[in-house]
Amino acid sequence: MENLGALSLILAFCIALYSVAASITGKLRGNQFLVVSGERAVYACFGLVTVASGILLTAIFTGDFRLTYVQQHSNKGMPLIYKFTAWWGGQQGSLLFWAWLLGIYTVVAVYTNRNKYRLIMPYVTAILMTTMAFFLFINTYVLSPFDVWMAGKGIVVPEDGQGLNPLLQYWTMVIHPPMLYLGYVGFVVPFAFAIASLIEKLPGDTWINTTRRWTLVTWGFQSTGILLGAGWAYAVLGWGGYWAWDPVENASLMPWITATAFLHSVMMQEKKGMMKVWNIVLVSATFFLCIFGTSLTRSGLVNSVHAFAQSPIGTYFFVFLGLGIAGTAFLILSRLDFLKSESHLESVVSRESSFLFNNLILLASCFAVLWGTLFPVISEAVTGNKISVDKPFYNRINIPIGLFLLFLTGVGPLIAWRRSSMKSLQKAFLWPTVGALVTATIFVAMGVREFYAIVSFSLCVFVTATIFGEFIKGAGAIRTKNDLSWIEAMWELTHRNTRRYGGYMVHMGIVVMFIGFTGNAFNLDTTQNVQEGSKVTLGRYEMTIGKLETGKTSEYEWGKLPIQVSAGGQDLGILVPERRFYLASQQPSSDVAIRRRLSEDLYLNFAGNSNEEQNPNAPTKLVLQAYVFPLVSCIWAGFWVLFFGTIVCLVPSKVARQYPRTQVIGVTAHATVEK
Amino acid sequence: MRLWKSKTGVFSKSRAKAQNFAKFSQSRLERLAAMIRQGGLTNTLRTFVNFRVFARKSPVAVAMFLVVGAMCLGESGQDVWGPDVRRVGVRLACLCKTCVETVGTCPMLQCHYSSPARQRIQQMAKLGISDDQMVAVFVKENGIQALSVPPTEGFNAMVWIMPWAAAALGLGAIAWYVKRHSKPAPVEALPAGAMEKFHTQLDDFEKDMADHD
Repeated sequence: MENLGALSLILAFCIALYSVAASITGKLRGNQFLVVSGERAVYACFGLVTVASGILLTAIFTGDFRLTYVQQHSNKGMPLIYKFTAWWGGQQGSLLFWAWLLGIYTVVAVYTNRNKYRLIMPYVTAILMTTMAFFLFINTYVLSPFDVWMAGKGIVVPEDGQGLNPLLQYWTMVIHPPMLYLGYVGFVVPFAFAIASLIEKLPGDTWINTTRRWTLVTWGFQSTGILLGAGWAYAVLGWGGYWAWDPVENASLMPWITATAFLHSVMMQEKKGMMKVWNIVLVSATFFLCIFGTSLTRSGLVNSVHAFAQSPIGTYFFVFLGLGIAGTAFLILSRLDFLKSESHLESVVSRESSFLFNNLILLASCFAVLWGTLFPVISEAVTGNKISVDKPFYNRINIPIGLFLLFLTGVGPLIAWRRSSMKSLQKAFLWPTVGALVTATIFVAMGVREFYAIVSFSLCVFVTATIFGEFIKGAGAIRTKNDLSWIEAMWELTHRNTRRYGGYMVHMGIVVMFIGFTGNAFNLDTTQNVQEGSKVTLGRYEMTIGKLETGKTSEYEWGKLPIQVSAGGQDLGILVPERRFYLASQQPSSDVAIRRRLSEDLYLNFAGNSNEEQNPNAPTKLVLQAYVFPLVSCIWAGFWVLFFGTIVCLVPSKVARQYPRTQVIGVTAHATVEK
Repeated sequence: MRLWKSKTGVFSKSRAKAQNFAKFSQSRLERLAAMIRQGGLTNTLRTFVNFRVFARKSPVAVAMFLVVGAMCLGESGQDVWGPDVRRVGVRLACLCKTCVETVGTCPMLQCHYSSPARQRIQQMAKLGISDDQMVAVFVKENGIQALSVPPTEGFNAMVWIMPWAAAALGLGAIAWYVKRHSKPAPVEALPAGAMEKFHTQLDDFEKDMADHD
């Protein structure tokens, strides 16, 4: 079977190359048969990658431990669902998964545009399949998932596999990687459309209209993936953190930031015909950061707890990146005339300017993260000394940047397109500003001295006031005109312009998440040696340690520590954090107990005992880590608001909006056309 | 004038607002904090749902509750690692190569780097060694990578300078963009002979009008 899998990958690689060649040749020679043949090769390629993936999954499910990949990432005792996740749990399998998802995206892009954009589709196909060919090359010739143990020296079949890393055996890990990969991979499509339009010098903003929705869907996947990862870190790693500024986490954040910038700046191009070069740069940067992030996880360039094992594929990735960036830069520079702005800024105090600042801040944040991630490597290359760039650096740089961005989130929607008068600004900003100042005053009066926390909460009130103000103003007008209830009016308002009001919902989600982030300033924690009957106090919580229970399953040995929790004399129940010791991988793992509330979480981690490695069940010197995380649930709640807002943005508006633009000296006109 | 109804009668809008604000006095905040200390934030919120102050739907009140709740959390218990470890530990990087935590915040109890480092800090603190001297000991042994953030000197200062320099550069780029694209667009020159043609047409038009007269 492994030979069939390997053969499928080789054939898929060859067909991907054929698709690229056929699409470009067909386009250049005007041969439609070749173009169509190139497109059909996409389906064949996807079919072959699916066959290879199916064979790998079959090997994992049936426990074919002759395959090194299967032996290293699964075992007999693993639940079926985690056996499935072993597909992307290791280096080779995850690259195959990347290629398979890219295949899905490519098939969807080619199929849905089979009768549209015929001028640029050959180039779109070629770009997508070039990326596909690159990943299949790696999977075929550098890191194959179908390698077998002791090949050529007599196959030795190990009795059982090493199993998936115990930390990855958690429900969010079933969804988190696919979501993140859907994000990473999906950004290839907007890039392909943008570059194809650039090559073809397609008049108008066709690629913008096509790719905005793709980008939004992909952005939604990326957001979900990042948040699921944060949720996994919070619930599994045993320290209650959701973001550690680890290089691999940073790698997922950077394309998300540039995509966010693009989703904002693209409005400038749609409505004003401005920032065309910038939008191409942002789409390209997002794609290349996705490739960079994929390579960062795998090349061993930086140390990370999330990274796959070191492998030789870094060089291939950097060559691919280098060629891609050089080609894109050449295309942009050679077509600057085609990318000229159609309008001018009429005032510095305008929505256009706020988008410029928004992009600046987002890009500054992205650069700071990239710089912090790569600086240890750069510094070592220049000075010869190793340095550490840890959490304190990222927090010092990114907290003020993030707060300024939050401020702009509130300011942007209140400023009109083209220009805003002082009077309208005063009117729009009065109550949000008053709300923010009152909030700050209350916190100072209450004795809060954390500067950033005060600023953050004040800005959250400011932005909330602006968003609610927008909804109430719009819904109020509709309600008066059509004699509707508030809820009906809100529904009508949102339905009339889903992009705008869905966007506000996304902003509201970000605000709620910021409330959660700010709660971090008030965290409490303690680590104590405990035994049965001992008491631990943290904040208002009193915890009484119960008797350690131990046991064993086919996969791991476990120890459960029941803890009676009370607060202010009121019994809050028993929390049971668990410590596991996985037999196959010989690794300990924690299953934390969390009392989740919107106001705060009580988080208990039974961190084992001091002589755990010698005897996992020894009941001496039990160690309990207890944390109180105020407002952390707001992060997860905020994500759902953001997710809902993204869905709303994707729903077509009741009123189709068109933005005809007059050239250069004309006045920008907005028109709405009833469907 | 639009009126608000309340249990105590009918008020003008401005008067009602003034009274609402007055309720957020220092004494009320103190009472609120005391209630939360005794009963917990969730219970207090539940109790307060029926209160007029909460029923006025003020987002400020909601924010106030949440933050007061966070403030009122009590003190920490007796930690395995004392305050010295936390204070000095956050200045030192955990060099286990699998995390980007500091020695003070590394959550892995059996971390092969942070765990012994914490014990050393405790021992040095007992001997009365100052924080700076403790940090210097670690730097001497492991180089400047022992610091959780790079020093602000030499080439490593670039790590701090570059993000802000990039932001400043971006700001400059925006200024340039605004300056360039704010200029009134030049009116395109008319093609040669267009003006003469226009005058001829105008003359013809005036003649026609005169004929009609």
